[in-house]
Amino acid sequence: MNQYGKSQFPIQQAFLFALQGIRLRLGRMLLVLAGVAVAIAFTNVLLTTNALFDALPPKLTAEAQGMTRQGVFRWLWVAVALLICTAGTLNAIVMSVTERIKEIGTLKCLGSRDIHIVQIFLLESILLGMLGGLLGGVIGYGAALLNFVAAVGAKYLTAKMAAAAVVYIPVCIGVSAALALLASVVPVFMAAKVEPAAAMRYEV
Amino acid sequence: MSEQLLKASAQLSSSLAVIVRGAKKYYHMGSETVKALDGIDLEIRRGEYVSIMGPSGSGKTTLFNVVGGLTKPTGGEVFIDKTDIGRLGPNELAWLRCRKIGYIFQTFNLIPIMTALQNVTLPMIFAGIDRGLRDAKGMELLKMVGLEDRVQHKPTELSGGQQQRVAIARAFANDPAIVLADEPTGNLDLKTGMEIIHLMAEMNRARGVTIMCNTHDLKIIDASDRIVWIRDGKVSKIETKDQVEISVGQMRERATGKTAEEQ
Repeated sequence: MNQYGKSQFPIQQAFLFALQGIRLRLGRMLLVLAGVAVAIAFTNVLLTTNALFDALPPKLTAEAQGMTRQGVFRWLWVAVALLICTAGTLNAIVMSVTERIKEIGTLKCLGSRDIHIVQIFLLESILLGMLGGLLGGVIGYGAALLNFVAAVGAKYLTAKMAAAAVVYIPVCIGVSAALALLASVVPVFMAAKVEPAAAMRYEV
Repeated sequence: MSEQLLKASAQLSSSLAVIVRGAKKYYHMGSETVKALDGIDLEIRRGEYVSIMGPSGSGKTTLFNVVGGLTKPTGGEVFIDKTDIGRLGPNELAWLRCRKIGYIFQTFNLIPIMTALQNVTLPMIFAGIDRGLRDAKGMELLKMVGLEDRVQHKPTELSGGQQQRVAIARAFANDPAIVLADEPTGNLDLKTGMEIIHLMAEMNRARGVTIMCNTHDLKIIDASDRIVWIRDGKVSKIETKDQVEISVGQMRERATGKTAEEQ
């Protein structure tokens, strides 16, 4: 079988496919995006608020008591929010995959390997996750600063503290992308494994 | 076996684009076994235009899928260009589909987000051909199917016949050993269907590419070299074009009760 090469599909092409996939389903994607953004914003409010309080000098921490660190049980709410947003992403990806199962069959007829299909759909969900993470991260950061100012007072908020808390925005993007990846791995691999003949026959 | 005979048989097999031996495909539906293909033997020569005829449910599409490497047969062997496709792994099969086989579907199956040119060049992307070469060849193929002024149109901006022309150009993109067509005129009106049939015959002659075309459209008989009749997953008869014209004439006689002279 030495005459056999491997069919190729450059990552730029997969990227274009993924972008178009999002663009074509923009309405539904925006809804998913909003869900992800809210959950991530909630997460970031807690992360940033804790960071701000930790950065307060000890004597001020005593002054500002009553509205200090967020309690551990709050993280349970964060977990619930993230779980719901992951379920939303899963749903969106499953829809996107089933709607395009014929297209997947066609791509396989034209020479696409399973990994190329996986590439397209995982890129799509990671893009979605990163965008939601960025949006939620920025919103959460802003909300945490406002909350801090309202609870403790603007005079305690230094530029240095505010700048240090920005690191949680990339953290949010990472968490959101990872969750999106987690949500889409199973449906995407299942779609890529479908025999082309079965995919072409599929009726939505 | 004598040396001469060996040579002759080697020559024979190299002149064949497709060999199907005892292909079977069974589906299990509950306790019932549906025999979509029940031992098909078929040989298609290089450059030949073969039509597969038969009623709905006779196994035409299953044969298309099995020969095209789109589904695994339950039994039997399929050789494309001397390669036993049953022995190929998934990646090799993808490569075979990309380089050796072109597909034309009843429902056209173009990628909706791509222009005509992008659709035609997509198989060449998978084949790893450079952009410049890809676009030049895509333009050439679109010109051959008469769509040189529709290059930047998306499928939704094209008529059914035009979409099928794009699909035909796409099927020929990587100069495959064989082009498989599954009811290519099934979704088209009579006139457009005729145009598509003539286009496929023209491409067959101009490019020397082998074509296997599923149909129950009797118009296609004119264009094809041989007609394979399938019934209940078996080959019921294989005829050349001349033989078919006679038997279709007889069918007409039986239907009308008149001979050809009387009509």
